[in-house]
Amino acid sequence: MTGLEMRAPRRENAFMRWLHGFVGYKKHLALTLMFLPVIVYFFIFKYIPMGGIVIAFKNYKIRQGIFGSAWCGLDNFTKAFNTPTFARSVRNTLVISGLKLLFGFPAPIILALMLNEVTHVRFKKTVQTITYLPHFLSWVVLAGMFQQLLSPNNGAVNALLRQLFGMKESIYFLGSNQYFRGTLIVTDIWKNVGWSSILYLATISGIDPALYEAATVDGASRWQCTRYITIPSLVSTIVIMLILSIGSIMDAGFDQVFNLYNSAVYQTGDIIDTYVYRYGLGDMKYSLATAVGLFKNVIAFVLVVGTNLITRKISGDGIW
Amino acid sequence: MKGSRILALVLALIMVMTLVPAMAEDEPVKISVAGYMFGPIDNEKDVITPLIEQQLKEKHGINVDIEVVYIEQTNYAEIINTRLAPGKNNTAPDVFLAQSATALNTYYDQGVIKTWDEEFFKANAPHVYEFIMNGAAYGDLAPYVDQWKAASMVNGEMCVIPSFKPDGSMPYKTLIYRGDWLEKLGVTEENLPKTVDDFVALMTRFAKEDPDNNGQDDTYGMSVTAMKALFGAYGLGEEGLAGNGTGIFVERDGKLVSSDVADEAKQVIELLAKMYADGLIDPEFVAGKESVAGSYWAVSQGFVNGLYGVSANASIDHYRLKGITGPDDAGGRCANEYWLVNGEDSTFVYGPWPAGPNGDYGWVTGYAVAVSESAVYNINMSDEKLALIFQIMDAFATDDELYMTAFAGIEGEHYTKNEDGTISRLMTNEELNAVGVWGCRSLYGADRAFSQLAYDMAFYKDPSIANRLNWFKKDQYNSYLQDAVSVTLPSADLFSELNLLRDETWVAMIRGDKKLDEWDDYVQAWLEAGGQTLTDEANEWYQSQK
Amino acid sequence: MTQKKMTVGKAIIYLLLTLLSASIVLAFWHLLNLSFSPSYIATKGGLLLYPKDATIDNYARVIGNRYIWLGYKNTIIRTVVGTVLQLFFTAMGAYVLSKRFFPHRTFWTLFIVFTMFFSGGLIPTYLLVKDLGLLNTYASMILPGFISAYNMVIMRNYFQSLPEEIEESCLIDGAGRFRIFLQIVLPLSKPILATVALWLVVGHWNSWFDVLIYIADDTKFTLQIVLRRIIITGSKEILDTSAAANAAEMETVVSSEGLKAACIFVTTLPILCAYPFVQKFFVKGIMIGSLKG
Repeated sequence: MTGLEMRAPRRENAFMRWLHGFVGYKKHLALTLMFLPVIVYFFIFKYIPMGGIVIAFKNYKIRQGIFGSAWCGLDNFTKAFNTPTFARSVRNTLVISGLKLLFGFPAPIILALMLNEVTHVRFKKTVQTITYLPHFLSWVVLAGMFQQLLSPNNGAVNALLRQLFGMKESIYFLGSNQYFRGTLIVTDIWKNVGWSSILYLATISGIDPALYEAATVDGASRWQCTRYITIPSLVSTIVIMLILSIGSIMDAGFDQVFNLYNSAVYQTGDIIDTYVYRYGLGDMKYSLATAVGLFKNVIAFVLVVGTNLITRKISGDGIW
Repeated sequence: MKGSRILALVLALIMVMTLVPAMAEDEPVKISVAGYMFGPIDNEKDVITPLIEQQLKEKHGINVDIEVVYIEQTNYAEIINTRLAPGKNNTAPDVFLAQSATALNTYYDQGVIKTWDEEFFKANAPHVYEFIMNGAAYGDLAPYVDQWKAASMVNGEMCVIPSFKPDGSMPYKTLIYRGDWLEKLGVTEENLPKTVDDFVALMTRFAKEDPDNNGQDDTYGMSVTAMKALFGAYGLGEEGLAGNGTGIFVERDGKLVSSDVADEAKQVIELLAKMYADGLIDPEFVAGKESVAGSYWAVSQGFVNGLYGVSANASIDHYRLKGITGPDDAGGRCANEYWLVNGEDSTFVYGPWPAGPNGDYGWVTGYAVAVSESAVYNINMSDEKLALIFQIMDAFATDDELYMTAFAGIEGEHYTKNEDGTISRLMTNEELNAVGVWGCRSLYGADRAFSQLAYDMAFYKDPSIANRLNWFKKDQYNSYLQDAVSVTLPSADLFSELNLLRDETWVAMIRGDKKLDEWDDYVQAWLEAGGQTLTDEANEWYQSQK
Repeated sequence: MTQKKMTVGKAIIYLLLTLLSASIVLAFWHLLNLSFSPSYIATKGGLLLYPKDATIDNYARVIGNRYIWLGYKNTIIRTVVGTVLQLFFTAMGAYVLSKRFFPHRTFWTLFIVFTMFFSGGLIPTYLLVKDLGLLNTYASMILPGFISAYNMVIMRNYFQSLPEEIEESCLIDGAGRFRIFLQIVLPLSKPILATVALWLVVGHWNSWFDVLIYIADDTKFTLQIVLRRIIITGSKEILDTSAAANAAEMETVVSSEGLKAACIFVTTLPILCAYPFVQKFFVKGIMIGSLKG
């Protein structure tokens, strides 16, 4: 028996199963009808506009329209790759969002776990409510505030560091390549940690209290309860969030960076999105901007598919 | 095939049917216009637009229905560009602004704006044509006629109505010193620095001699805007570092070279690096405590609040003293902010520009003829409509009453006339915009009408300008103007990458993060990233002008 | 037991939470003081622990704007209508996808997740909205982002954790899937519904770019647009000497930083007030506990 013969029937099986699936739509008619609006919506509002991606391969001119514009192959891509700042913006994007993933991703989980340990209800509610607040402020506003507080001249943070730790030189958090990325990470966590913890808290609130009671009766400590009950029940949420986070690894946070950076820290702060912004809608370089966006999204998509594959192998959980 | 022909026929029929009654009842032609505005128009309060329509109809036989569209200035390009995206059937207003030469180039390139020829211009706006070609008011514009023609075209086709900004017509930036600091240091107005060396010496005293008398070492000489005084002293025009603008091309040995890479630029950066190392420059100069985002751009927060001793972020008009334009004149906007912070009796002093080794001085500004903020016309209109818009432009140029209505509103209600022919407005800019004043601004063509009255009003008789011009008769106070390149270079889009490279390199050099030895590498990188192309294009144009 | 160790651990937790909260409270307190301060205070730097030279000019300017109440109305319309419809349809789709037996489930999930990464961008979406005749309608504020793939995946994940047994017993009782979804699944999913609803509300409340692009009719402008205008018109003017030469303009020098701060409080206050009502859905043991117990 050759390999081919071995494989052929199996493939037929898969195909048959796929074909057989269509019977399922009739069998689960109610579900099919419920799902129909979703399909229609996504098709009209997401897939039809996706046709616009072709302009990444065209020299798009408004007057000629998407279809009328001339094809130019990969010209837009080579043009982008040839600008000296492009490679740097890719590198910066990866480093910044990598650091955000490393520190920013666990932060809300830890916050949720800590909040879960708080037995004083009023304290817990107060902390929760307070930590959600920064999420409501836009980066434009926060940038103004941080520029003040982190100023090397008369900023409150430097004053505090000088008084508490006897530091002599002021740190220019937003103007030195050494500190800029760190500042981005910390301010990002500060802004979003509370808000991101909502999802984990919602999941924790769904855990059966009887489990904790039984464990406590068996003599488990709070830490053991957390370790063996809370964390395991968070795993599937964490996995989903992790996959989604990895999918957004090419987004280093345009709003934040754009409002906080300046020419002294382009070296460490210029990211793909700020690069695209310079060429995008403002300059009407639609083709170039679309090409860079496409490059970015293909990588993100590959990463998500990859992570999904790995997590599904390991934990059996995944997005699909 | 057949179907589409029938469809075309039906469509044509519909078009004819909609047109016929329009002509029969003499329906007004709808024109939508989005110009520079301080705030949205309030349709309920709008008295000016109907008045303009009425005057146009009764006095000039132009029957139009003007719709004033307000578009936020900060996202103007994004909004217009999105609305232009459908091409022929786009939803952008009929008349809108090209915010910069680069934008104009893009609009032309994308084919979204109308073009015309000189014949069309002459036929539909004869007075404007005469006004411009004759050099207009007082003959002041005569030297700029050729430039105007060049600037109105892209690729040899006329597509924009540029505005004149000849010397003296715009209040350029001025060096302003803190009066209290000068007093403390015993510097009188006559002793203000007139050379770069004296300037640096004064900066050192500002930084080291505790000019604010608080016993702390918390002052600097200057920040980013005053750096331009040094570029000017070396004969360069630089919009970089603070504004991410483009370096101006200057003439050296008969050839144009960008201020970004000129030999003198290296000397300036070297000087700045030394000043920075000596603590004369605010380390936060990059982030900017001068034009702070969200607050009025001309107010240098660092200067007003006593962090720097000098700033060049504002014009003399922003620092206008009280009572200049009339008995009720409360003074310039920055002056007021300064007094609010430092006390009613605090003072500031206008300074001369320090001169460099070759005797150059000043703030090298842009070009006398500008296309930025000038009107362009949507491709989706018919030639007849464009002709009508040109006729309206001509009406504004010849009819002073009409112009005053659009520019100032109704006398007694929105403005009063002063004895010398100037006007005082009775409402804030936003309120005036709400009732319709300035709403039709783009229908003049440029930012002000091409009429004698407009020029008299806005340029020469305006008290704040007159005051400024008198002041600047003093030696070394006036800025000078560079008219190097007045066309949009074909590869102007390369500038964004070059500006980035320049700002980054210069900031690093000034702060000592990068050595000055790397200057040649920087120039090389600049040329390779498109600088060579642009320099060649600029020179090609320059030679063609000779 | 490990009573002592526990308290040390707890003390650290309380301390960390207090520090985090304190940093946020201080920042907000600073902003609040700023909203009552004139412009020149902001540049002095440092932390504002009390308002200096207090003024209510900033608030007067925000509240006195003629468009602000119209903006409130429009924002509330889009937020309420948008959130309710979006939540319902997202949940419905997520529910279907949570069923492992739904045909081609993996394909459909990918079909939806794919849109998180690839989109035609602004221009094609604008063309679509225009061609559908939705420009200048409330629908243009809601439809382009009607169902978010992200929210759907989160919800589907939650529905999958619900025990299948209840549904099956209902099926046996003759209830249809749609009824089960409405009467059993949705009530069991209050925490996730509340979470996603909160996301949607905040999203609608704060969004402005779609309004900027799709809406030209100023009676449909939302709160954020109006507030942006207040801030921006106060901040950017071209050098127009004739315009700057008027005395009336100089009457008040409004604080831009303070104005921003005042705007923040005027726009976010309602949403902050609404928050506690949503929060109660998060309380423990809403569903599984009551089922298994």
